[in-house]
Amino acid sequence: MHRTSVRTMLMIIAALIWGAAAYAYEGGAVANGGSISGQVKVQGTVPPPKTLEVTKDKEVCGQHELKDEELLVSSGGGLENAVVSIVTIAKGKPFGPAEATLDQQGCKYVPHVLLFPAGSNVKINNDDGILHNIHTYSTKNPPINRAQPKFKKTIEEKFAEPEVIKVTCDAHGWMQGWFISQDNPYFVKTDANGNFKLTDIPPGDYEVKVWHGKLGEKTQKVTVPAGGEAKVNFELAAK
Amino acid sequence: MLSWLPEDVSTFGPKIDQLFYLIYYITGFTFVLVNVLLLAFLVLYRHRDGRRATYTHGNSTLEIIWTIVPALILVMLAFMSKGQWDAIKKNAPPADVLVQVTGKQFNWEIVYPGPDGKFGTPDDYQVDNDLHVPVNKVVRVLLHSKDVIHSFFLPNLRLKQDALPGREIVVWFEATKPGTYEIPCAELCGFGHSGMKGQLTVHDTAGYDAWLKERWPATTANAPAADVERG
Amino acid sequence: MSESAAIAPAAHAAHDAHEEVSFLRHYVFSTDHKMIGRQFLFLGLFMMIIGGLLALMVRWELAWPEEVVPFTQWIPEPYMSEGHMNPAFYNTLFTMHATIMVFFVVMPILVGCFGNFLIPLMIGTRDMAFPVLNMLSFWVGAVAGVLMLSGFFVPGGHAAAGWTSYAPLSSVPVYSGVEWGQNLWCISLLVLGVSSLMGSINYITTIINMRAPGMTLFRLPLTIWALFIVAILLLLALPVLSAALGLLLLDRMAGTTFFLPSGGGEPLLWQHLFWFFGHPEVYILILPAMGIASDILSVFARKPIFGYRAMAYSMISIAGLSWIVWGHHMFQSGMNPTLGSSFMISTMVIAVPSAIKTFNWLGTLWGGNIRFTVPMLNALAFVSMFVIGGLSGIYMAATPVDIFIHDTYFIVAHIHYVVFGGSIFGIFAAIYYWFPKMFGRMMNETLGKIHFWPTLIAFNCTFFPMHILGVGGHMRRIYNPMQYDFLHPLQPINVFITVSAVCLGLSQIPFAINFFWSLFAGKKATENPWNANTLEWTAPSPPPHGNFGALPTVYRGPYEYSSPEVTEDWLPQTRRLEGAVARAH
Repeated sequence: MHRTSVRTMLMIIAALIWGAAAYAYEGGAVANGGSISGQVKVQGTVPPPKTLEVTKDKEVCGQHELKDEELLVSSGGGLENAVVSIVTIAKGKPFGPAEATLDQQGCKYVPHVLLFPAGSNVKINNDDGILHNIHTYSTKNPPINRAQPKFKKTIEEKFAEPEVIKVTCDAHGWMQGWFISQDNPYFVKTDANGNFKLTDIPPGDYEVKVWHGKLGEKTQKVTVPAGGEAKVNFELAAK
Repeated sequence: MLSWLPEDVSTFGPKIDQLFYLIYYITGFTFVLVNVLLLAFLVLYRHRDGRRATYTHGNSTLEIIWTIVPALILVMLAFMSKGQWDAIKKNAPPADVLVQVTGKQFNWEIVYPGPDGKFGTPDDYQVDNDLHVPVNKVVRVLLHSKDVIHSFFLPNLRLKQDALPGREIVVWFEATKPGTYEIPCAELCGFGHSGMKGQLTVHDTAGYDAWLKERWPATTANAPAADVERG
Repeated sequence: MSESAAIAPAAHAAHDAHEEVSFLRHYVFSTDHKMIGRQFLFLGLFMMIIGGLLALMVRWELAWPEEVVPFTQWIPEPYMSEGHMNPAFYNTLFTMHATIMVFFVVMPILVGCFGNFLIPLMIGTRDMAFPVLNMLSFWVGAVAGVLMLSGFFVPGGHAAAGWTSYAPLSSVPVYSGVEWGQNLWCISLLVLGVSSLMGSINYITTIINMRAPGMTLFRLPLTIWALFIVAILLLLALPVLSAALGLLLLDRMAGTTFFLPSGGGEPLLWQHLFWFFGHPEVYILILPAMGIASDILSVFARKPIFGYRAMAYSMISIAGLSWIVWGHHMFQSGMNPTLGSSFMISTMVIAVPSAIKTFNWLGTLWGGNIRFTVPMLNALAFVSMFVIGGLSGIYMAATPVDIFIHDTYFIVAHIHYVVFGGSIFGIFAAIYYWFPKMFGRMMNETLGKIHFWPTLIAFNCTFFPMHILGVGGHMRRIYNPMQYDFLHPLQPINVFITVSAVCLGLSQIPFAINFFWSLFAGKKATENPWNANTLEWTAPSPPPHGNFGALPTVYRGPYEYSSPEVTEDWLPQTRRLEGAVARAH
């Protein structure tokens, strides 16, 4: 190949990489950062969480009663384990891969919904001393289907792309959880009452989304004032 | 050797075990015959000084005999097998109890149609690995698979059927004795194949009624006749 | 070399011309069928060590599940964790054990080595019809071997769906977690298929066209009959496997759904294609051993083979019937039960020719003058062990019984009695018998017996109890029987089997020592150490390039032992008797 054409190719490639980098999220100091807070509630009546039937490895999994954590609603109608996030944001507080840990305790995923920045190393612990298996249903990230026998106390997996990923254990059909891999730092889980708060947001107009494993998604537009708090409430219809 | 067979609690078990024993005696006899002749010839016709082998190229009569006799035995076994095979795999009798079993990596997903006997209605009950049936009743299993090929194996019922994705296979059995039995998966289905197992509980009549009441408390008529096969 | 005096001047000059061939052309890229045969032998023996070690790992895990497997701490994650075996790796181990044994041990040795080495020599010609194609068939096979072994080193691990590779477990990567390993498995077997096809073309052409004058078809030794029939089976069966592998690769890599119901495909299609090849394949594995055993039994009983034509016709009928029995692997698969019944009948029928052969082998021994050399011992073990394997097949042919024993250790017992008890004892017999001709030296008889007896005993201790496991309902392809309550009473049998398997492995050490020591320091072999009749024993040990001085002329069949026409108890095919007319038997 000609030297000049090789050089041209290298320049194009460098430009593409720089261009791609330019579209990625940029973290740094936030001046006059505001916050978004609010509550996610459920509209309509919701049955109490049902007890999961343990039909395998009862000596380990049947020790404590296991409740279905997919739909947890407080007495006031607040929805737990929903994830509120800013859909797109180019600049804000610092952001990078972090440590995240999923525990398998008594044949239950702890936490039920695990949040981490895209590119993080996720540690999956098996404290139960029996065979579990990590099976992720992901399309943007390569799907994982790995056995975790009792002698393998920790598996590490990396998720490079942002995605909402369902996680199951094929050995124990009732075990189900979620990985939320995000490409900006503004994402948080609602607490037991459905409350949430996102902080250190550069002032501006944003689209905020709530996601829940069972009740779906909703978005809302919000304006974050400099140094102030924007209130956003969501209501998801019961299914 | 056949004493190692698991206890037979199946209505079609005895015919299978009888065939098993018959083949055992035939093959055992053949094995002994061949090896006794072999050892006898090795001793009788071993080299000794001055010995010369008998120069012969064969014997047509013997060829005919040892062609026809094995052929007759084997064809007889084939005809003895066909009836029982058809009875188990082809001609399922009318069902007393209906249940759907879906193999998936790595559990058996069981769906009971409930007192209305129909699948896809609110009284269906789905559970992994827990199969409850009454004794002395024909149980019809609609066998599916969600992913790869599994194999529904009930050793004590002398039953095995591969579960295929994309199709429904009808399987039946009738248990003759209450008890609990394991349901292993008998076709390699991935790294969780070892350990994939369900549990079959065969209840006596009172026990089955009690289980039905516990599962579906609202219904008062709990006779198994309610769970009649729906095509 | 006293043999050189016997070589005619023309051949001697030809031999001298070949002295100038480089090391590479002589030993590596040789077109001489004898060197190619030796190359296949070394490939097969090397792979046998790997296949055997894989089996021992499987056995260790079965006997002591979830405990540390000795000597495996060097195997990295995710396969082993400091000696603890990952369940996914267990699946790879039995998959690769079987794949390697079937495709890279038994086929290269019986078909590649003995086919190549013996066919020109036993039919009385100088080399194969296509020597360059022959050389390519080895090297393509060697490339296939490298591809197969490379699968161990790719992320996701090697193939783990069984050597039978049923779809959709094998066709959808996420179901097994295996990525490139399964693809390499497919590609390697596609390449190996090309190697076998090249060999088949050579064998068929050579046997039909290049027999020495007087060598009619019914004067061929049964070894050659078997190799001829096997070559035809390979020619017809391998393309079907190649098609199946192609479809599997397309499903895995190109998004097609030949085997996936959600895309309109059918999982059973894989099974039909695989077993349509697979059943003739298992007869490919046993027929050469049957032919070899027939020849060796005749030589050391000093008697003609009993029922030569019946033996040839029964091999032909086994080969013909092998095309219509494949469904017996699929009785419980969901295939139509009526179709299953028709396969049951054909399967019962195919047992008849094997029964005929067994009785003819006994007839060969009857009235003999038997010498218990090491080749003879192994050939006798072949007969006895193959009978057990064949008889166990009858249980599976009876469809109602198969409902219970399908996918249990009863099947594993059957497989190993026919492939190890049959083919491998046949391979040992062949190696001990033809080693002098191949390498010009004798193997040590005492070491041979020290190899034979422990092997025979340990083999039976390893595989006979598997029948019992199967009767107890013990499933195949599980790594931890203790996960099942109903299998707990059988576990001591698993331990006994594993201990026996280790002994079986250790019993091969005298063979390895004997083989390698004899290569360099064995007693120099004469032309015909066994006083055998067939043509290869009229050439020097080892034969030079071109095999024979003048091409031989054949006057009789290969089994004229203890003939009343001569005082010796053997009468070579090439020996001309005064006043004798070349009789047509």
